[in-house]
Amino acid sequence: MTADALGLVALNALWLAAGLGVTGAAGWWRGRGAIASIGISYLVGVAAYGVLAQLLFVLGLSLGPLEIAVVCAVLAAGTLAQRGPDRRLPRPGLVAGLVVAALVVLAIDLWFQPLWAYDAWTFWTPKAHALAAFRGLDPQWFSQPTLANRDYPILFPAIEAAGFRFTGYETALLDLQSLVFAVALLLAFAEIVVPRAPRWASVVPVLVVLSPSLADQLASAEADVPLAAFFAGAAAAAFLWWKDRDRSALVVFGVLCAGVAATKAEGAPFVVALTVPFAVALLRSSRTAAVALALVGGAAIAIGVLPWRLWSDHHGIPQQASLGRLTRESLFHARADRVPIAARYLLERLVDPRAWLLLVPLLAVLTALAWFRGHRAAAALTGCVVLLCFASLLLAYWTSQFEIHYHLATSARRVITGPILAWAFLIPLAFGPNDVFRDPLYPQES
Amino acid sequence: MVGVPAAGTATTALLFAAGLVAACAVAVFLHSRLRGLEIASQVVAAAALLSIVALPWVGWRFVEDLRTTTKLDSYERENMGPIQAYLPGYLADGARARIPSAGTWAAAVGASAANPIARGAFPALLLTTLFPRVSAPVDRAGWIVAWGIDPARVAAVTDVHVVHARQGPLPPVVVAKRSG
Repeated sequence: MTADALGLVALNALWLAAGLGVTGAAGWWRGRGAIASIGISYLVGVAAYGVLAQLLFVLGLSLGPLEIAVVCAVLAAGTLAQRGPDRRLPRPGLVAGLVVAALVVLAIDLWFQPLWAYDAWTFWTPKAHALAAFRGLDPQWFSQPTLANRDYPILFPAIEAAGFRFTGYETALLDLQSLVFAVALLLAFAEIVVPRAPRWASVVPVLVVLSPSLADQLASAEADVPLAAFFAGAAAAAFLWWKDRDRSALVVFGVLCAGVAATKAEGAPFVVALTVPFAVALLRSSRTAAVALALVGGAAIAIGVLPWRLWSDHHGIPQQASLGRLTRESLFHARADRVPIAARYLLERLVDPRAWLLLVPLLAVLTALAWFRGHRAAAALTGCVVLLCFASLLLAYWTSQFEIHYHLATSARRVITGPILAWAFLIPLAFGPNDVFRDPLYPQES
Repeated sequence: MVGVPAAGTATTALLFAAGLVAACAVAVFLHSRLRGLEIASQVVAAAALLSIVALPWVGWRFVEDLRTTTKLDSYERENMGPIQAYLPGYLADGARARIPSAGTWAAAVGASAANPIARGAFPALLLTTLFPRVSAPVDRAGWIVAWGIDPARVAAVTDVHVVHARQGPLPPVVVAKRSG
């Protein structure tokens, strides 16, 4: 397993190089600023690779170690066009030490974790195994009736399959791969949020990393942590576009949103929930910026969802999340009782201290404080994004084909992770100074 | 995490009491620093202090999980998914020997004394055990893998074999070739 772990390190290095290429070419960093940008760049690299891999699989191509390296090398070529600011990470303090200590404990725990979570062993990992074993997308295997959630997009299995091509069929490493997502997310928080937010913002990652729900989900090798990491990064990028009109942030937003849409069925509604409030808010100051954000968000959904949707429709795979169901008025009336049940259950999972400690009540109080302390636009935006995300989840449970209590019990604790982590990124940013360029930690243009 | 048991009332009380002592100690230590903070910082500090109360419980979860996962043998490690669903990982191994690698199969699960979670997960166990063979609807499958039901009740079959005998509450696994 140790030798296999080295293969996983090599693959993650390729994804990081790919991400640095995308962010470098987009103008996110320059020179040694690459070191400060590795968190967000890693997430961008995995999202870009995953979306491209899904497209290449749909086109009938095979992705072995060589092809994976070529895809990453093409993306990494963007480092040659680096043209952004020389970013710096804030100096690590006691809080960073606490986060690192918690991550080490998590890594030790995940090293011994077997593949056990129901969704992981019944369809996520089998799909990845099939992609690796068949060296591509086998229509007969992927459309077979026994396979659960056949209609889910395949970014996550494509990522796991890449791991299998580098490590062999080693399922014990999948949890460690999930941990890399969490580490990248925390580094992105340190790079993007900490320099722009009050000092108390550093406490938020500690609460996130200590949350039992995060540990549970990392140990489950499911797609919710990657989706949440992409979504939180996209939320921060949307905020930067709204606040600073940072063009590189718009690129990061687009790539991460495509990753969100290509990871799970709830990804596309989350992207809508993120894009619409920011686009509406931008309309007040710049119609061009609003249209640009809306176009990028729409394009991200199209790129993340359409290729897979066309492929799955072509092979007769029924869709669980159907726009058609949303327009059937009779269905809404017949199932109206599901809404309060789902709303109450989601709310209970949100504030359950056994899942997220006090993170969600804290974020709620801070959102109210931001409103009353003069950060009204940012507080309202954050609130809208979070509420729309939960509205989209309610809609999903309302129209779901599954028995409501079973569906909630098996999924609610996981699907709230993306909105919670996006909230954790957005609310400290909402408290940030109006003019971030006055902050000495803010990356300086040369 | 796979190995975290539900904490008993006494254990929970002890863990949270220890956390409360730790939180009070930190609060006393930082008292002078916290007083002058503005409201948002005070709220965050209060949430952090209250979260310290749960720290021993969070640590206990890791200890209990590691106590379980470090003792898993290779069979448990490779089959923890099915085991969590009350299924032995080897339950359908015999079916793999009977169904040719290019064959198609359909699962038929009937009422039995097996746990309902196990009955629901049986087709997924077949999916992983029979890989790379693909499943098909019953009327198009070459083979029927029946569990808790006579395969003749779901399709016309020949060549019927019990590939795993009854085991406690688990009914036998029967593989049959679909005819016609």
